[in-house]
Amino acid sequence: MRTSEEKRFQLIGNIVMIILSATALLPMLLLVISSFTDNDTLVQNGYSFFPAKLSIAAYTYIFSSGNSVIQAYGVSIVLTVVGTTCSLVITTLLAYALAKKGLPGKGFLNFYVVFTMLFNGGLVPTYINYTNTFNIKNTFWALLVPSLLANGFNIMLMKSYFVSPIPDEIEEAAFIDGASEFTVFSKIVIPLSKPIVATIGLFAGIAYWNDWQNGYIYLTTRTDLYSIQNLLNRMIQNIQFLTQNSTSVGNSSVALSTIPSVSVRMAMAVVGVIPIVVVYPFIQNNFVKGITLGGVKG
Amino acid sequence: MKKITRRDFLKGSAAGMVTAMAGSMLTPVTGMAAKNSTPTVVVAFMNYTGRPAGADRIQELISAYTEENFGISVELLVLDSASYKQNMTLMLTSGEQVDVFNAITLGYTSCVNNDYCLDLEEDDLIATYGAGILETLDETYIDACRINGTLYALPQMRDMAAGMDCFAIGAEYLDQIGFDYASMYTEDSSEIIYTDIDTINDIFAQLHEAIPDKYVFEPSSAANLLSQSILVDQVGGDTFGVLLDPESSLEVADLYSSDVFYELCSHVYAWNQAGYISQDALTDDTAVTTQVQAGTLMAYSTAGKPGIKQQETNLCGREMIIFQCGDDFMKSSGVANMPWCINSGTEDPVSAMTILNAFYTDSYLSNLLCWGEEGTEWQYTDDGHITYADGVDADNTEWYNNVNWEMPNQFIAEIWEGDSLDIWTEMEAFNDESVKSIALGFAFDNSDVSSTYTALTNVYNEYVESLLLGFSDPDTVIPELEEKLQAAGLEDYIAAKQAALDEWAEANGVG
Amino acid sequence: MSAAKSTAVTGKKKRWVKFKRFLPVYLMALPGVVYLFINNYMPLPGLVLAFKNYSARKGIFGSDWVGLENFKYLFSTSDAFIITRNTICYNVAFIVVNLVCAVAVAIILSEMTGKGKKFYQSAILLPYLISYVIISYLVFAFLSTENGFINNTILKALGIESISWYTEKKYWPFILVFVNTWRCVGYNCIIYLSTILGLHRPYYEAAAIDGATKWQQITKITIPMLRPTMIMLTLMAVGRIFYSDFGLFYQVPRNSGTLLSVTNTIDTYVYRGLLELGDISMSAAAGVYQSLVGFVLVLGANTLVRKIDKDSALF
Repeated sequence: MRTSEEKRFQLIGNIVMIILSATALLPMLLLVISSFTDNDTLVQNGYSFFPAKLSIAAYTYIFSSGNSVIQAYGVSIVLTVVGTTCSLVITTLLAYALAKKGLPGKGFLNFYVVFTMLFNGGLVPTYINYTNTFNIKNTFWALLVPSLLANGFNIMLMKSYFVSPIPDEIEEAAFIDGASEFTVFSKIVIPLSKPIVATIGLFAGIAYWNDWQNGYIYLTTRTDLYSIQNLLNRMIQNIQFLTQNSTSVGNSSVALSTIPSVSVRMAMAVVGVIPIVVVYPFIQNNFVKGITLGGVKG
Repeated sequence: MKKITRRDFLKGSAAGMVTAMAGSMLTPVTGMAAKNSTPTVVVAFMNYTGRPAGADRIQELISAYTEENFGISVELLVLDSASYKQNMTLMLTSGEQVDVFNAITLGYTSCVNNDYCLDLEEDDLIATYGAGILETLDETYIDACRINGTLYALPQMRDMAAGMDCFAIGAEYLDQIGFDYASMYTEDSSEIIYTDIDTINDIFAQLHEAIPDKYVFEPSSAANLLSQSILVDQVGGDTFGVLLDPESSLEVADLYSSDVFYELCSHVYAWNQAGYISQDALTDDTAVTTQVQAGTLMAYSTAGKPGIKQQETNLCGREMIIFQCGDDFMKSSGVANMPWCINSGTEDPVSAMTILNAFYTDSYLSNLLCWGEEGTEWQYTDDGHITYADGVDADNTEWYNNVNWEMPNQFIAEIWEGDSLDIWTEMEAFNDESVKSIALGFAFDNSDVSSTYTALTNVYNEYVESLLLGFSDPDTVIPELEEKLQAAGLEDYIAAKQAALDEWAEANGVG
Repeated sequence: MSAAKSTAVTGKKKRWVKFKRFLPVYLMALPGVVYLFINNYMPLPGLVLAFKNYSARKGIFGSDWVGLENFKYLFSTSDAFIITRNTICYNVAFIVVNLVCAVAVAIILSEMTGKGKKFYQSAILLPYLISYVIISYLVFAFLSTENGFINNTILKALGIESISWYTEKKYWPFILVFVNTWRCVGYNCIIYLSTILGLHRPYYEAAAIDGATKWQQITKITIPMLRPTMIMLTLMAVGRIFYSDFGLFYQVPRNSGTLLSVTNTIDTYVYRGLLELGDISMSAAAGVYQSLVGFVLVLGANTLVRKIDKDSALF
């Protein structure tokens, strides 16, 4: 009886997930195919799963000598690794404090965090704060620090996880054994919270990898600090700006008209997303398996 | 105590790791300013592809020259076209050092409203340090940059008029329908064919019949079609309240209830109904030139000027024939739409003006700005043009400025292969002989009616594009548009504009 | 007298002990508190910009006060109703649809035993990694009048006349909700999934022994356990109810004017209106307005939640 129910559930579950995955993947497939389609063919026939003519011109353009894509990848990788690490440390520590039972001033601290989700000073004051007070313009700090290092959303998510699943007895037993706050945190709380740490790490990692705004705003002379998404977004937006204002390009138009403007957009999306696709399955292990409380208890 | 030390140690080591990993990336690289005590002028402008690889080298060449001659070094801030507006707004509000900047995409009036621009005549600044500029630029053009009598900016040397109602049509398609365009060139004009809209209608009909699988026409953009087709002056830089008779009358009127607007929309509507225009024209943002290059489109609208045939031919990768049905027209905002300004917050206006003056008058500097370094980026050809240096091409050049029209004075730079050696003489004649708006130089500060303006803009977005691409029937949709505009406060807006224009006219002795 | 004094002393002592006991916790909170102060609190005085007529010469704080002048454009026309209605309605739809879909997908994934699980999870996350600019072109590939798949393949096969998607208002509320869900479900389900995985497995084992069906396990154990997370995420979404994803509402409908009455939101209205104007005070005003409404709504909703279930409240 139970096994047949289980089987039925697995069957339905698989069907639903196959449909969802197909809905997600088909457009992605289209994205990849159109990035390999000849630009003129794209303009003539639109996007197609079976293009009449294939071409790698878009990738040749992106990887051409003028654009330092490889270096930008390097910046992105360093940024994502450093950023995610710092972000996780800050977020977990603060969330742990927020979840602490009986902490005096917890209500205020909670509000202090939630408030940041609702109000911000806006772009101009934030920019002035970071450039004039902290002087981070045109440095790596500008990619790392503004808005990405920690946010109320992730802190609250982590806090709510810390509040619920860790049995107080375990913690208290540890304290009675003379463990310090930090030992409890690092030896008990964190191992028990692997799924949420992996999740917030993933959120922070994606945010760092996909961010182009910081580079857009804070980098004006250091082209060597462009991250991959920043570089790609600049290219996309410049091409867009150019094609909309092509009436006044004068002579230089020869060089600019050779950009495969339609397929290059798609190729850039592919170039930007591939590293995540490669790395994701490794991170995934952390929350696919889950954790076994029993082990710790025993 | 013990616990704290350990945590501190951990935090410390984490910080150490970060520092080690990031290395030198963390320290800001200050420009030339730090190296020596000579004053530095920071010059900001945009470029279609962002800071070129050779920017540091060109900057050093320029600085070496200006240091020797004026004792001032120069720092170039070349920003991406797409981010220029945001970067500049942030820099100008935060008080960072930017001494000279171009107002392109920021909007000149908007710059003045926000107090970003220095009064160039304050303490005789321009008369003392910018005498060369005053000699180079025509007085009319300088005056066209005055706002309420104050000179906040200077126009660059470029095409300031535009040939109205202009069409670019692929030569091979004209050949296919046997249209003899070659005989239509005249002695005075070997580049643009002057004709009328009936001829264009006729050509379109033939093209559609002979080559039904290609689209006949698409405007380069709806906004371009509106500003480049009908000879009305969009005074104050927007379409809400225009001069319908810009040569002689200062009356601000509603464009959308006018006959010229109705006619334009009816034309395009008829073309759309006849199947000349792609059904995706409204939503597909592929540039018309790209579509012509790909072979799906045969003609588009553009604006005439000397060199236009070569430009469009280059853009489309096939020979284009240029037809023009209207006059050459210089709008009130034609001169001052992307002028050069000095930041009101600059610490050294004298140096800024000195450098600007040098850019307007020194051909060595202008060549560096426009084309880069001789021998590295470019070289002379036998006939006095210039072209790529050996081994350099469009893909690997380190300085190939695609915004020469934005530079202060491209007229004193060399001429690239493919353009006429007389192009700048032709350009000057083109500017001089064009029909000029009576309101030339009028700028409208709409900050008092800005909420009306935002409302009107949203109505514009809802209706006008669709009308101008021929997807809406003008007979039914224009009245609807008109009703919405009135509800959004069009009349108040026009009245405000008229009052400002009258005031301007009186102050300037026009009318 | 002396008794009272001694209680005061012990009270003080107690507080000191308590403080000493929690000192490490405060220190752990410090980096985050400092960062939020720098990133979120230090720029806050800049909000006065919304009430000023900005002049670069006078600076943000020295500029002239104009009261509520900068807010006027948000309310002055009939558009004000439309953009507010659109913003709220879409957000409510997103909150409900995202909640249901994310929880459903998370439950299915968590109960799955086969090898496909990892693959499914990666596949549905993919759309989230693509920017809306690119997504708008993918949507265009399906909906374009001339070459779109829907018109050219599906409708043609069914013998239905092709539809001009970008001028027909009635489809867009569904298209936008669909695109939003399509892009975000993989991302949103992660948080529920990790919460489920953190739950005690023994609960389920015990339930199974007692003969509970899978459906009962889901409705009786999983969903109640997810409730705090659901409430919290919803509360946070309520705080953003006056905001909209610019990419979704501007790029995806390809700025089609005809669709404006169903696609225009506060953010896109402000963007279009201020594009040429470049008025930083007016855009600051829009931000203040959006935050303020969100703040009031969250305060209200949070008070409500506190009354029903104190532990799930945000603060």
